[in-house]
Amino acid sequence: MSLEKNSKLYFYFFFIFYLIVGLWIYQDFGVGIEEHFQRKNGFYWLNYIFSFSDFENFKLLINTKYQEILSSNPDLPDSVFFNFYGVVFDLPLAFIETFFEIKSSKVYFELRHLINFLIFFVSSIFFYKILQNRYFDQKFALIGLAFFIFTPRIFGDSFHNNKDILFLSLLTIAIYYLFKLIDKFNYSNLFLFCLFAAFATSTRIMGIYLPILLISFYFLEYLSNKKNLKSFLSDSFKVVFLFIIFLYLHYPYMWNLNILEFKNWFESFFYYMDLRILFNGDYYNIKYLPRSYLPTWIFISTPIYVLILFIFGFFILIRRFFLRTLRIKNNLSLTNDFWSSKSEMKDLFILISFFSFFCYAIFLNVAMLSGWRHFYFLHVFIIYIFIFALKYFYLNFRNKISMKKIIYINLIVIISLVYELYKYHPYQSLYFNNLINEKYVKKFQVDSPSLSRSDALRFVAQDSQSKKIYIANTSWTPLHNGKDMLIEEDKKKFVFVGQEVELAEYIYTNNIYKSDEKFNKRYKIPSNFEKIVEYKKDNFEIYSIFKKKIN
Amino acid sequence: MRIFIYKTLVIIVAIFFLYQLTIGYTIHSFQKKLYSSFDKESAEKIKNKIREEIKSGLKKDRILNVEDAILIKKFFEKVNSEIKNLE
Repeated sequence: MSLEKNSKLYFYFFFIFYLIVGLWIYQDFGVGIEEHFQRKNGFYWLNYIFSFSDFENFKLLINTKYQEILSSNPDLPDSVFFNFYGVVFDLPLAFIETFFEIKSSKVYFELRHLINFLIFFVSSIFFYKILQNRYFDQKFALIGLAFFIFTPRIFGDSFHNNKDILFLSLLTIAIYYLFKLIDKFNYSNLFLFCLFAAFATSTRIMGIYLPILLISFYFLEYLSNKKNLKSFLSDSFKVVFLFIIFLYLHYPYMWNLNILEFKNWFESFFYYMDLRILFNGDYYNIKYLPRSYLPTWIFISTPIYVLILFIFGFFILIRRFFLRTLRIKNNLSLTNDFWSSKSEMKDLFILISFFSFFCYAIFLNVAMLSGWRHFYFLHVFIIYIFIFALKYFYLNFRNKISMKKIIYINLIVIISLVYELYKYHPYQSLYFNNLINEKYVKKFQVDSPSLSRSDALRFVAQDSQSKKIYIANTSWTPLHNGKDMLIEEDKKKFVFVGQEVELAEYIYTNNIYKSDEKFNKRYKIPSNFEKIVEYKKDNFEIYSIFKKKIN
Repeated sequence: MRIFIYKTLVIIVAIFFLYQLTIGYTIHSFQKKLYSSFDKESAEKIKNKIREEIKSGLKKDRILNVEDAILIKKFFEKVNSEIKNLE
């Protein structure tokens, strides 16, 4: 049986396998550092939306839940200030939690993980379709799909990162409809593109670039006489109009904006905390990180094979764009433009998208923390360019290397990635590639999403015989929220004493600090404590637990 | 018109990179140093360092060598006499 004939079969097999694995493991992940805040935002918006309705009992339930969150987590960021998050994902989840009267924190956080996974699962189908649309080749689309899903940090985050992976998912779906719109401008494609671009924008403001870049491309088409002025203006107007309508309809943040205060509209999106993080052995303010921050993180946490082909593909695309730009003359012909076909136009769209965001992160002092998770959406561009390089390589060297060989090479890499996923489970989000060794990893923050706290608390609950367990935390990330992934019986046992280690029987640390621990005594473990757990993955430490010595 | 717009775009992009790789780079390095060094935690770090140095100095038999001690003594005496002469 040939590979060509069975591609569809492999496609279905792949997705069923992926779905089963996802459903099997979604309960294994700890609660992410931002999930409590996002849940709070969901209830904030649900409360707001239902304030316009007459469902008094339901309103009371929502308000009770919201007040409960406020009192149990007073340190969470203010939802009134950060009211631009949470409409697409957190609000429906808050509704489900209230409607089905889910009381167990473990259940509602697991539900969030499940839904997040399912959204990413759907977006991976759209990524497959993007590659199909561009390359008309199921084999390359399948290879791209496997790397899109099995890149360890993305795989891990697809369960617990309800913001960055959600944005990646929505962006992927929007790009698919954008490609369809490039192929054929009709109302169905326009409608779906604007809808998903609006969803992406309300998830992360960066999504606003989608209609802007599309209109810029229409303008370039107009300049090249591929569009006349009337069609350029009418198409652009339709895109802007539908995008704004969809954004306005589902994004309550827009409802309160004053049209005369346009300059204040985006102000809150650029707020940043006055925090310092460890990067490459030094502590930096998150707003003024070294310019190497994003490239370094991408280099050390993306599979090397993907990196090599991505860099290769990136330079091929830049070279093509550069040569086409040099060749442009005033006379109008099909090849006398930035692109010579719709496929090239799509490639250029991806190249410009990646390059603009990459330069934005490097040059414009963007506040970043927790690795490069704020820029995980670049993953869709990275894998697209990776497949572009693979296809280019195949087309130029097909006399020397057959398709079968390419498939086998990629299959070996995919199997090794699946092994990495297995090895790191459930800490795939903390993956580092082989460009960095155990000693060098210590120069970076590892468990910045604070995933390990639930596991650590689970271990302490089993280790201790006491009915009340006093536990301290000598790292910067909050520990007490980790209890929400425990069963109710275990949750009640814990008394969190913060950094007052003298009151504690156990001390937890995931080695995330706000400043150099060598100079800060509050992170020091007292000598009357002994290390009972040093949890490692791939030889680097994720968390440790210390227990008071018995005199 | 078409070529003019393309050239304008290329010039804008070139100016952006030229600025970022020269003046922008210098400004960024300065900002990075300033904001990463002079925050509350770093001030605390410096204070702790001074405290530790004073503590370790107190443990020694002598903090200053004889020549420095004479020099500082003379300096203080001079300053003291000048202040007194003002009255």
